[in-house]
Amino acid sequence: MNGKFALSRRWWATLAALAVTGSAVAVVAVRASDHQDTPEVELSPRMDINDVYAFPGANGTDNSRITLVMTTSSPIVPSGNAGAKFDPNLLYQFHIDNSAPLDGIDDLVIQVTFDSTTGNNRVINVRGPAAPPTRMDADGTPLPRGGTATVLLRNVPLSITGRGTDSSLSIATSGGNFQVFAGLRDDPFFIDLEQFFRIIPDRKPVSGPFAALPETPTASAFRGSAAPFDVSRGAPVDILTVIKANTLAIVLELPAPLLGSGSNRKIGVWGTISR
Amino acid sequence: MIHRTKMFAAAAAVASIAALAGCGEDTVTNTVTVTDTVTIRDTVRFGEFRIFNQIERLGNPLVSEALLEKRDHGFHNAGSPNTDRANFKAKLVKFITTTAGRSAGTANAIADVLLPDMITVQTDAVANTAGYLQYVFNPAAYGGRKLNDDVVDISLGAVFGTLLDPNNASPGLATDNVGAFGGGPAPTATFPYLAAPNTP
Repeated sequence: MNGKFALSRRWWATLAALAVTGSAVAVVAVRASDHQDTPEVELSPRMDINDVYAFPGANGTDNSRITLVMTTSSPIVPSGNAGAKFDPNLLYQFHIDNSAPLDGIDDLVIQVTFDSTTGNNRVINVRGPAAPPTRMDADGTPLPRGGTATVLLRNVPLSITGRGTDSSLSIATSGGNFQVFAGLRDDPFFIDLEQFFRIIPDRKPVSGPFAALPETPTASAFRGSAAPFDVSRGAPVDILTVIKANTLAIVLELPAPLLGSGSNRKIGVWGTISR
Repeated sequence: MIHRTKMFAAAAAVASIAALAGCGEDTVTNTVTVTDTVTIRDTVRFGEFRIFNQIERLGNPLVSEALLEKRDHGFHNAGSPNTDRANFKAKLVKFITTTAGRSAGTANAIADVLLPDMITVQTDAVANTAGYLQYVFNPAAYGGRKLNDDVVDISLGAVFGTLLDPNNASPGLATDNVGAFGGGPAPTATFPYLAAPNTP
């Protein structure tokens, strides 16, 4: 216990120092991996990637296939389900580095876009996996790889396209080789978010159930056990599970060698949103 | 390293898969063309087509939000993993040595695992070795990130706990004591795996 309190003092001293200098403090900002972000992203939840996952296909059992997941827009409360939809103006991308050794530059991208149709005819287009476009400036000079401005792949056939509703676009190739789901799901992320905001109140949101938590720290450690939900506390214990937060998820399952074969089977994966 | 063995055991423990319930899918449609191999590299001149500018990026969970100051989030979002060590390693190390009070050695080890900020996957490794940061402790592991990986506890455990370093730990901050899905719905055994959305 001495260790804990010693650390707590150190932690709060640092917080205080940062507060004095006017810095925004990101200490253990564990609102889901990345639920909410910069002011621009916070104001446009659909630009917010919450989490990225990568695991073997067939529910984690088959390494001949790989599942990639990107969750966005969480927390969507159930009463807001009807209004939740992917933004047709955004480009959602999975990036794959398969260089040996890994160099942090994307060798492949999978680009996901949606059209603006409403109802049951929403179109999802998935391009790739394919090498990202070689970008050139207006004079035709190639730009360095690893940049973050891009265009849609044009000369690559659509890998998969289909139609569905705003909340559920689930499509697959005829042989089931390439599966895509895009739509509303439960946000699988879990954390004792209430206690986190009690430890670092300056990270709590300005609206919603957590906004009512005290402005000053009321805890310096996580709880011994986090009860699922105690109404008497006056606020949800964990917004991501207790208020049944949903997320807009993009889930792909495809043959693993499409992301790198031979000596390029070790890959790095990340997600981006562009507009 | 002795303590890495310890973390591997902990990571393996959190990686155990919860019992999964099957669940049917609703909408299914359509037409599709698959390209198994694509070797074309598009060449696109800026100015000819719509340019998309990156405004959000995420690889490893919690890296930006937990370890970087808010003012760096936009910088991180607009970047690419190949420049992460140059741009953020010193900041991560500073956070871990000052805020968390850990040794420079521990801080550097954590920063080198998390940067470049991408989820590393050995795609031909045995499927049951999948799990967040497993590859750090077992180079032959699949790695990746599963839905039920307790990334909060793994990250807090490394930065504040004893997973990597027994000295100057802060037990009260090393875990949030929330198990997989925190009482929320478990994933389904069938694609797309994430549980059906909660209803009003």
